[in-house]
Amino acid sequence: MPSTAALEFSDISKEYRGFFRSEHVKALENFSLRVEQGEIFGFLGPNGAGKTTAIHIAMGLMFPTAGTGQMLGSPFGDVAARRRVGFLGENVALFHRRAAKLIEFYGALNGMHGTRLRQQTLEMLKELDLATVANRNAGKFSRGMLQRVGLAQALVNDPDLLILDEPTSALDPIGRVRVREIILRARDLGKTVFVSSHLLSEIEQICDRLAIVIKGHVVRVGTVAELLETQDKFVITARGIDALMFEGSQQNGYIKITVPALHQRSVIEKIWLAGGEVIAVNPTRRTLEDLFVELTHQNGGSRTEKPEDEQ
Amino acid sequence: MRPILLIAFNFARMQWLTLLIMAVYLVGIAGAFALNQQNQEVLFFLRSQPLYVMFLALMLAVPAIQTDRKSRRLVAVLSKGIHRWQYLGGIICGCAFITSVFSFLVWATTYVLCVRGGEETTGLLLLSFALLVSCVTIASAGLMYSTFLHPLLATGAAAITLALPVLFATRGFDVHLLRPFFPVAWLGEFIVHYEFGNVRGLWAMIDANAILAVFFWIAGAMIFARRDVTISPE
Repeated sequence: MPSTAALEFSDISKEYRGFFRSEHVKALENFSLRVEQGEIFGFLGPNGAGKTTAIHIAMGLMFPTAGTGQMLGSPFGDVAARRRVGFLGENVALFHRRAAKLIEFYGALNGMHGTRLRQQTLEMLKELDLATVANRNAGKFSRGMLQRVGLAQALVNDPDLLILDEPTSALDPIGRVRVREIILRARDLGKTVFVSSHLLSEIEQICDRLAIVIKGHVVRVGTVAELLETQDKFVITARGIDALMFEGSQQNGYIKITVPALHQRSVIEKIWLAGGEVIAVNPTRRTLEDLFVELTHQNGGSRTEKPEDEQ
Repeated sequence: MRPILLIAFNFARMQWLTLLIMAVYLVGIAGAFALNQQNQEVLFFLRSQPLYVMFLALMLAVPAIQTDRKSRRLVAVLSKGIHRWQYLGGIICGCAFITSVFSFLVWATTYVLCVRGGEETTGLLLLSFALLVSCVTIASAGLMYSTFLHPLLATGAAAITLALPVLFATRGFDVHLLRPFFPVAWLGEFIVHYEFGNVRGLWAMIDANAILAVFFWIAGAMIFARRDVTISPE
């Protein structure tokens, strides 16, 4: 029997209509995605791709035009499931209260109370370097500090599933490292993290799997290695041969030769015949940025209509 | 109940400036009347101030959802483990907190002025309670309309819904039979024609208002439960 997914979208479509139904924007179309428990899942896409819409549907803030979905084994919008979720929305906006009271307020809305709530709040304040400003009004915080309070309110209930929409936007490099540590620690504790971000290097570093969404469709999903390794070219590392013979690059006595998959065998045989030794054969690896740009161009670029970004 | 109270307290706390201004205004105007007290002025005070409190209840409730929506605070609140009816209940409860302060002030100031002027104080407390319940109904109706209408339209729709008999009455219709179905208008009419010591019909107004408040809350919750909350209603 398959285990319950942490998050599962099944054929979800979402259409925005203008006031007089004159304007239609399809934010999501037959969108399906499964996020397993205990993984860090990256959710990528250009502006207006439908990322925030998908997240809002999962949180029960919006309703799909068609399709269904589950979060932690319950239908989208289920209150009990939401208590086990930590959510940080894009461009976080919070009430103007003292930081500590604000975090307690959001924790209490998730059913926490008493000593546990106070302890968790203190822990979050410490964890996110907010202890010194705990009694200051969050309304007067800088964007970065507000983002940290937003993270604290998402983490205060010790959630099983963390949904983070641009968690490191507005954070300084130290803040970003701290958030990465928190996400990795959450995974180590068996929690699931679903993170949407435009910082591709960050996603590449921390995610187990990722999906790329363009114009409301999932165009690619898989592990980072699966997506970044290309099977059409290989890098052969060899030694004991003349670099000029193979048009390779020489580094510390090793020669790296990039060859198309079709010629891999013949090149290896050629190295052996020349008295050389093959050290390694690896598929070439592109960066996530290369893949992202390639897929975005292939699928017609980003959509200019982006209702979820204008709300 | 706890989420409702948390949201209510948070809402009331955000309105501290409104609370302060209205409290200073009410106490100030009562103080001005007390300086050179004439009982007709006290009666005028009692016939006018509760109507302002009722108007304030509408003005507090109607923009609440829109403000939270536009500022994106609503996303952080409704992504927690609460139902949408609890959120609406919290806003209504918050309006009740604020208007209870004003209802109390109306009672306290008129009570002092009546005692000083030797007027009948019977029924003043019940009148202020009826005012409070009526404010809850107004807030509840305003909030229901604001779940799917722009605040400006919601204000108009709520005002028309609650004060329909007043419109008919201005056209010369006899609206006596409509009163129980429009308890806010009924109380408004009672306040405008108030005489010291008069309590006739107040309990009926309170009962009818309480029923209507719950009705609007349920109706609002049913509509709001089906709305996308990250998109503006207009």
